[in-house]
Parts: sequence; structure tokens; C-alpha cells
Amino acid sequence: MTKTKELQVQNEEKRDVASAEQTRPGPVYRPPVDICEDAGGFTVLADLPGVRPENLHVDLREGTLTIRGHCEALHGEKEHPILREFESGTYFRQFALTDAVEQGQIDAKLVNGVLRLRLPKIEAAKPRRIRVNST
Amino acid sequence: MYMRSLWPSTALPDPGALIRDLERVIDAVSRNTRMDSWGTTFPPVNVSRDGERYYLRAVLPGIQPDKLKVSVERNKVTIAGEREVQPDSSARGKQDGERSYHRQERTEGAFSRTLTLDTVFDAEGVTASYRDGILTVALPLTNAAKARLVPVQAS
Repeated sequence: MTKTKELQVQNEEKRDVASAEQTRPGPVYRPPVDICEDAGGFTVLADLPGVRPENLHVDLREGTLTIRGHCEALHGEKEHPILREFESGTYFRQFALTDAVEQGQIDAKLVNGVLRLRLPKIEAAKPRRIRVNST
Repeated sequence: MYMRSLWPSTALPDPGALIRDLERVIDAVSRNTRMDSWGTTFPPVNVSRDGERYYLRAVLPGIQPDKLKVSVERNKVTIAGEREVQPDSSARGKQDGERSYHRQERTEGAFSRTLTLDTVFDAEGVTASYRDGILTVALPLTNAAKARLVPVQAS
């Protein structure tokens, strides 16, 4: 049982990378993300080092949130490389959103190479405390 | 008292402790692999040079610039600092109270890395900047290390 589950996850990851493969040369990275939920909505944080705001595309289509960012070459043209541990490339990741997200009000910020998305919940999905009357 | 002699601790280890040990090992292993998503050492660094300078670029997303420390000594450069994942520092997040994680892949903690270059550079002229999660340190070459064209005299 656990084995099939693992396999599914792997397949999904492969598909992610495959669908990002086009247009630009260079590796496709699957950036690490944190997703946390609170009563008001979801917060997604993704590490996208080297990506400038103009090279980042966050889009929402048919309930799928896509994060795609491109990192330009870090070094100048006249420099000779001596050590290269990081290669610039594309960051790609996709997530299926629940209906509980207010899709028109997603807020995105890119600060110091970290993308922060705020996905507010629709009113109906927010937890509500129901007052109990004693009489 | 009698019960304890029936269950000597050496013969039957506490199963709870065993599970806890195992969990600790699994946790350590998975944390390491997550840390390694960029490679084996953190942070990954690119070094290049042109005729005037060495350039060291470290991939360090999401760091407060005041938490970054760059120091130089002879031909060594050290970059150190601390990375905080910052789940949600906004006042709004706090108001909402409880939060639960669906995914937690980003790592935090202190780091330090020292690189030794093959020549001495001019420590006085070193500059560092941080942008888009990349730390760039420019290390000017000393005059002795710069390439120079030597005129050939005909006799």
C-alpha cells in the first residue's frame, strides 16, 4: 500500500519536470516549499534564489497553481568560472488548489529570493464558532 | 519491588525508547536529505574571476541581510549567517491563531563556509552585496596577482 503511494508521488514529480521542459536551456529545479494553513487561508513560501520579479510567473488556471521562475546566469560574460556548484535554470512547481481558496484574491510577494503567496479562504470555508445559548 | 525483578531492564528494553531512537534516526536522515536539495554543502557557491577581481556568489534565499557575515583573511573568505524560515511573521497570521503545515521542505539554521582562493587579494577593497537571494562578494586582486603585459626589448 505504502509502495503504490510512493510511486504515485514520484510519477507526479516527473510529470512536473516534463511539463516545464521547453523554451529555455538549463536545469529545471523543483524548489523547496512550505505550505501552512491557518483559519484565514494558506501561506506558500518557495525558495527561488536568483529570480527577479520580472522573471517570475505565478498563474492560476483550472484550480492549478503554477509557479515558474527563471534565474539568469549569475556571472558576467567576461568572467572565467573557477568553481561552479550552482547552475542557473528554471524553477517549476504546481499545486492543485482546493475550492476553499478565494482565487481572485491571491497575493504574491518576492523578497530576497523567496516567494510568499497568500491564498485567502472563501468565507464559507472559514471556521466559525457557533454560540450556544443556554435558554 | 517484586515486579521490577520480574522485568529486568537489561533483558527487555523499553519498546517506547526503541521507537523513539528509531524516530530520531529517521528524522536526522530525512533532515539531511532535505538540506541537500542544493548539493552537499550549504550554501552552494560559484567562484569566478576576471582581470581585476574574484567574484564569489553564494545561493542564500530568504536571509535578513543583517544576519549575513562576510570576513576575509589573506586568501580566505568566510561567509556565515543564520537562516530563518519565517512561517508568517505578519500580524494577521498571529491573529488567526492555530496553523498547521501541509508541507515543510525549506530548512533553517546557522551556516558557515570558508573558501581558500589560490592567490592573496586586496582585503581592503572587498565589497559584498545581497540581491534576489544571492550574496555576491567581489575580491580585488592585488597588483602582484594581476596579469601584466611584459614588453619585449630588442637588442
